[in-house]
Amino acid sequence: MPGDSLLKQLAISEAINRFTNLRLVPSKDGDIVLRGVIDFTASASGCRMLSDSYEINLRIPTSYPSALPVVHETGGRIPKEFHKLEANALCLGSPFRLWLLIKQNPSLLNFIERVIVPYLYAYSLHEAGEAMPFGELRHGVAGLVDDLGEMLGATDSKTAAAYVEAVMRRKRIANKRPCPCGSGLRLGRCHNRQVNGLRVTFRLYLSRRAT
Amino acid sequence: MDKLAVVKVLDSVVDSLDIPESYYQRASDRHHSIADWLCRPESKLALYSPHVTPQGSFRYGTVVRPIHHEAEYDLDNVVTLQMSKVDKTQSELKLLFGEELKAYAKAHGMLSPLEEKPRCWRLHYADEVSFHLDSLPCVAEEPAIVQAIVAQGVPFELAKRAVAITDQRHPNYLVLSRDWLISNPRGFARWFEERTRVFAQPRLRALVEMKKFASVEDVPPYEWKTPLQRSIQLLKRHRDVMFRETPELAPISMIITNLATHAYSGEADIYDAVTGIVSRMRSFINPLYPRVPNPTAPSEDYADKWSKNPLLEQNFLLWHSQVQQDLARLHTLTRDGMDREIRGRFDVQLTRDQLSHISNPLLATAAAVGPTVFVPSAPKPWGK
Repeated sequence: MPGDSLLKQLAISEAINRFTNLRLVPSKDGDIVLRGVIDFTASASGCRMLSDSYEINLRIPTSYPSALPVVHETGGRIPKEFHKLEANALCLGSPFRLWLLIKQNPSLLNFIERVIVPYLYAYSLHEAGEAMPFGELRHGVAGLVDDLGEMLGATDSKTAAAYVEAVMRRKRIANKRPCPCGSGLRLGRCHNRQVNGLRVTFRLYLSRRAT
Repeated sequence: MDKLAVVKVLDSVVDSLDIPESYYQRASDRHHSIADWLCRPESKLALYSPHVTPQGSFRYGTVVRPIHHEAEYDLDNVVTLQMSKVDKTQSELKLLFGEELKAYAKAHGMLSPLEEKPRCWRLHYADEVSFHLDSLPCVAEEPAIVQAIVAQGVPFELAKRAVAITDQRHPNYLVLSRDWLISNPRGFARWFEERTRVFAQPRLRALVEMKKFASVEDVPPYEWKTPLQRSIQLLKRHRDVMFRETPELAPISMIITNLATHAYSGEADIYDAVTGIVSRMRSFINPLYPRVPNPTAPSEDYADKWSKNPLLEQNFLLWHSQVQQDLARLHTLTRDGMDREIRGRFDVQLTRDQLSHISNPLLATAAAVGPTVFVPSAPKPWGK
C-alpha cells in the first residue's frame, strides 16, 4: 500500500502498544504525529531505577529516516537551557549518532526506548541533582566533534578533533599521517579500519541527510 | 478483567450511541413524502417512474448520534429513473431533478435553500432534530453494463440494481453520452442486508415472539442490531472522536462499513466482533484501483479520493492502528481507567451502574509506571 511504507517502517502499532498513553493524531501534512504521555521505569548500569512521566509531542517527518523525529516536551518541565534545539525541540543527541541508530533499526519503539526514554531518564536524574548517566555533549560543533571522535575511542577533545580530521581527509592522505591515537604509527598501520569504516558511513550520512 | 465485563461496557457504549427509534420512523416518512411528490401527476419526472430507496446508515441501521449537539443527521436516498442515458445529459437530469426538489421544499415550507453537491441535492430540514437529506438522482443501468458487472462475478440479483449517476466533475457532464459513472448503492444495501440478516435471525425470531413485529420480514434492519452493525457504530464513533478537529481527514463511513462487512465473520458478541473486524479489515483494501470497491459494482471505488489525496489513506491507516490499540487494551483497565478511556475514545459517559462489574484494585500497588526500560547506552544530549 503506497501510504503505508512510513507506517510499516516505524512499526507504529508496536510502539503505541507498549507506550499506551502515546496516541496517534490525524495527520494534516503527511508527518506522523503522536501526542500524549510517555510513562517509563528506566535504569542504567550504575544508576538507580526511576519511574517518571512526561508529556510529549512526537513528530516523524515524511522524509524519515533522512530527517530525524522532532520531539517536544509539552508539560513545561524541561527548561530551555537544557539540551534543546530551535523552537524548543529536545536535542536528543548528535544528529549523526541518531541517524546511525535509526539506520540500524528504524522502528519507532526503538527510537523511543533507545533515545527518548534515556533522555527523559537522564533529565529526571539531573532534576534530582544526580549525575547524568550517559554524559552530555558540549553545545555546537565542539560537541559533534567530541561525539564523532568518541566513536573511534577518543577520550579527550584534542584526540577527538584529530580523529575527525582523519575522517574528513581522503583515505590515501589520511593513511600516511600519524594515527590520532598517539601510538606513533601511521594511521595506515594502526586505526585505519575504524577510521575508514566511519568515513564511509559519515559520507553516506552527509549525502542522505535531509537539508 | 474477564471478557464479559468488556462486552458489557461496549454494549452500553453502543446503546448510548443509538438514536431513538422515532428518528428512523421520521426518516422513512421523509422518503415516502418525496416519493409521493416525484410521482404526482404534475411532476416532470413522473413519466420516468421514479423509485425512491433509502440509503446510507439510516438504511443499514448504523446511525451514530453526532458528537456535536448541533450537528445534523445525514439521510440519504437514491431516486432511480427508468430512462435512457441518451435521453438527457447528466446536467439536464440533475437540474430537472433539482427543480422538482426545489418545488418540494417550497410546497413544504422549508426555508433553507436546496444545496447542490457534485452528485446529489441536499435538502435541509429544520425540525427539533436537524436532518439533511442527500438525494441522488440516477438512471437504471442498461443491460449490457449489468451483464458486464455479472461477468465480474457479481450475482445478477445485485448487479441488476446498478445505476448511472450524474457527477458535475465527469467529463461528459454536459454532453449527451452513454458514458456515465456507474454506481450501485441499492446493490450495496442489498448485499449488506443479505450478509447481516443471517446473523440477525435469533433476534428477529425473538422480536416476533414478543409480538413486536408480525413476521421476521417486517423487522427493519435498524432493529436487527447485529454485532456487525453495532461494531460499525462503535468504529464510526471512534473515528468521529479521533477526527473531531479535522473531520475532512476522517475515513468515510462507506469505507468503514464496506470493509467491516467483508471482515465480519459471525462473532457472537460485540467485543469478538469488533476486534475480529479490526484485525481483518485492512486485508480487504486492494493495493491498486479500485482500492475499496463496491462489491456490487467493482468499478465503483469508495476510496476514489485516496489517489488524489494520499493523506486520506494515511489517516485511515493511522485511525486503524489507533482503534486496534484502543480496543486491545480495554481488558487491562481498572474501573476508573475504563471510565476515562470510554470518555476519551468514544465521548460516552458510562453510569456507575454500567461500570459496577469492573473492579478497581483493592490496594494501590506500587507498580512500575509504564514499560520498564534498561538502557545499556544512549546518545548524549547535545544542543546547538
